[in-house]
Amino acid sequence: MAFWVMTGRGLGGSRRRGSSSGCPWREIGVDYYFSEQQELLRRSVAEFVDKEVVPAAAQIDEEGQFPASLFQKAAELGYLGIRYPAEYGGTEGDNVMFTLMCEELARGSMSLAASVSMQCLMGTDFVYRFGTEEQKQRLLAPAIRGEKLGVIAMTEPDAGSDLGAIKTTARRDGDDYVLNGRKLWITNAALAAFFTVAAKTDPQAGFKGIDMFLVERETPGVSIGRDIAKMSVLGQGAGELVLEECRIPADHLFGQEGTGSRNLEALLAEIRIMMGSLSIGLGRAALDAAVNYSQERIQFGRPIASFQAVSHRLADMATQLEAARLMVYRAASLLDRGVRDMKLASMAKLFASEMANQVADGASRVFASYGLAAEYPVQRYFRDARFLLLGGGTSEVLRGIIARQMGL
Amino acid sequence: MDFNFTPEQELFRQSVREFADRYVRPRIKEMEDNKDVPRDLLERIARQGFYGLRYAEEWGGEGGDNVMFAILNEELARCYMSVAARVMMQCLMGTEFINLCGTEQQKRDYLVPAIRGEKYGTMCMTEPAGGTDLGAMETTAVRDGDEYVINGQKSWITGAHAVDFYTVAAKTDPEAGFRGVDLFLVEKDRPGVEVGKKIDKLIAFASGCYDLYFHEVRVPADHLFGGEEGQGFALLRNILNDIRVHTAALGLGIAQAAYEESLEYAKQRVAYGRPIIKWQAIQHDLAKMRVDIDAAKLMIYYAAWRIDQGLPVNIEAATCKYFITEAVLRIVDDATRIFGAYGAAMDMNIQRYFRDARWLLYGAGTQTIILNIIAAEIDKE
Repeated sequence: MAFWVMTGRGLGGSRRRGSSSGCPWREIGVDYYFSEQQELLRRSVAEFVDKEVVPAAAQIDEEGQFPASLFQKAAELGYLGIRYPAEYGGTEGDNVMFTLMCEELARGSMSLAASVSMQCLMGTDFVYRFGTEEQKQRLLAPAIRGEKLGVIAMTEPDAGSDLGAIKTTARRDGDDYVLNGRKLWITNAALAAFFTVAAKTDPQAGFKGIDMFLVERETPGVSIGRDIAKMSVLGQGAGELVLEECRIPADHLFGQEGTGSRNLEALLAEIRIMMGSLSIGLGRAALDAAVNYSQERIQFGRPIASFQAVSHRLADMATQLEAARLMVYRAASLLDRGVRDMKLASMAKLFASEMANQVADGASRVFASYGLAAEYPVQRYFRDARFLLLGGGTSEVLRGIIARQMGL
Repeated sequence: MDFNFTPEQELFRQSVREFADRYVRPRIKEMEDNKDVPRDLLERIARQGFYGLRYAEEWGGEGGDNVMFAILNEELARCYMSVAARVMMQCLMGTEFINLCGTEQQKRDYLVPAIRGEKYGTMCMTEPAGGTDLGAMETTAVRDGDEYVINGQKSWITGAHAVDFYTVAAKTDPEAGFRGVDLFLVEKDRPGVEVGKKIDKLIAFASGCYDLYFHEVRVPADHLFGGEEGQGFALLRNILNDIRVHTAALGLGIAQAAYEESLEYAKQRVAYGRPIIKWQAIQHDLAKMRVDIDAAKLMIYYAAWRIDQGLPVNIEAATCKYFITEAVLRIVDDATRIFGAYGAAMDMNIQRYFRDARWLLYGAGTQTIILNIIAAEIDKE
């Protein structure tokens, strides 16, 4: 990808087209700064989202159920394997394409987008990178086909941001590991076929004592607790995974013992960029809704968009959104060139998730009381935006990481 | 200059807090699930004398002042916003025009039973096309002999399903914008009154907001508040200041609850080997909450005190409403962050504060219109 910042093409490039109203991001020239392949992918996801996801989003939310049929369609369209090679059924896209796909899906439904991105990335990445060939054929390939759900299980009751405090243990016993512990807030736990579980092989060692394990649903000792009722992303479950003397073969350890924390950190950079792209999708949806409403809603005899208090608010929202897009796209394009920059990834996630919350707040103010009414999507954007503050590190954790990367 | 609450006010605050903890708090889950406030709880509140707090003893009221009323609103909202909103409606907007302008008979028929918790009232201003812009309302009241005939649709009417009488804003002069608005007493059992659909919303689940229709509804001419046409504008302008101050008090209650619970949680929750309150980022979040609350408290009770002194409050009512709205939104935002993922869990109070605080963004005027009002006032200075 010839990313425009790197190629030196400015905003006023000679091929710039006229502005398309109601679609402000087109004006930075998305359609020619991305490669043709990337742009094609974006357009095809956007079409799917406009046709099938946007009309279904309110119902997904209302029913509070995993959107199984849309998820299956995403599989058929090749979205679930976008990061993976063709030999497992993948579609071999790059990181920018993954980012664009997440963004477009999140514009339609965060519940769908979050479940898809879990399946594409955290839920399957360890199997792909460290799994045996047999595990890849048995789990990764069906996951890409949408037949098996894979999710990551890190959080515990007393360990959220502070992963080093997890209490789940993995004890070596002959050719096996025996896992014990309790995981909470596990995405779609009740539906998952396999879990990538963070457990301590060295309970004294804090974060460095963590290793990652493959745990399959059918393994004795695995049970699923209750789902947590929550305010955001209602079509994605948040459940409990309980491991009691759960015995798994030694080849279910991902990588070498003692490397889990390092491997997890590498993945965290990608998760953060992915969360940034979900944030952008939500920000776009909220801004779009607010712009449209401000032009339709008449008060004091004119559209409220004609009042500075409203139009300047919208201008600020659009500016925030554009800044976030550049940060996220840049971090993703760096990944494609083999640069895994934790500082930039953390900054992109921090800025984009805060942006999404500010834009959702701004949209709900433009809508006033209707911003809280279930019949409009703005209340959903507002609730779902909170989810973006958590996954991949809270803002406080991200600031800590950025500060450390700055040598502070 | 004395910033202390009187012993009577302190005692009153304590009694409201105890009442809320004992009778309201245990039923919050039930009310959130059913999305309504049960009648027996509303009647229990009446027996506490809260509905008559602002009203004269001759009607069964307590003769309390606006500082006490703000205390009531703050303390109830600290416990549960939906109940506080319904109570404030019954104490103020839903009954005030009968108190100010009603005939003796109307006071005996509606105000006295309202204070006793036997009848309930609500205010009907908002319409689909007339929210902030009240002058755009389309409901009309046309004089016909000794009666008025009311036609129109109202929206976002608090408790419309469960009340006995409405105070309805309608235009007697459809050409005249806001100044063409008058206020009418309309009993719910009048032919042509129809309660429409309930609005499913993100906030204050149990406050109950409904659409409300008036089809050729006839009321006697003495149901026009103010005795003659053209009074509505002035009547509304006066009460809007009171509504702003007391809506601000509701916001203060939510802010206080979110702050107290965050502080408690930050002392218990351990991350990276110590309670999170020992981390500076969290300390400063909590410190900022305290700054916001202390400032808002002074502004709100100062405005309430000014109303009691008979001083103008056009600016003070608007500034305190503006300030607490932004403050409580900052506070519930930081509070949910302190709770991490648990901030979004439905069995925690925090998500409720986070949602309910958004009431402040439009109740008693959006932030935009409040800034317009402040700007217009300071332009005159």
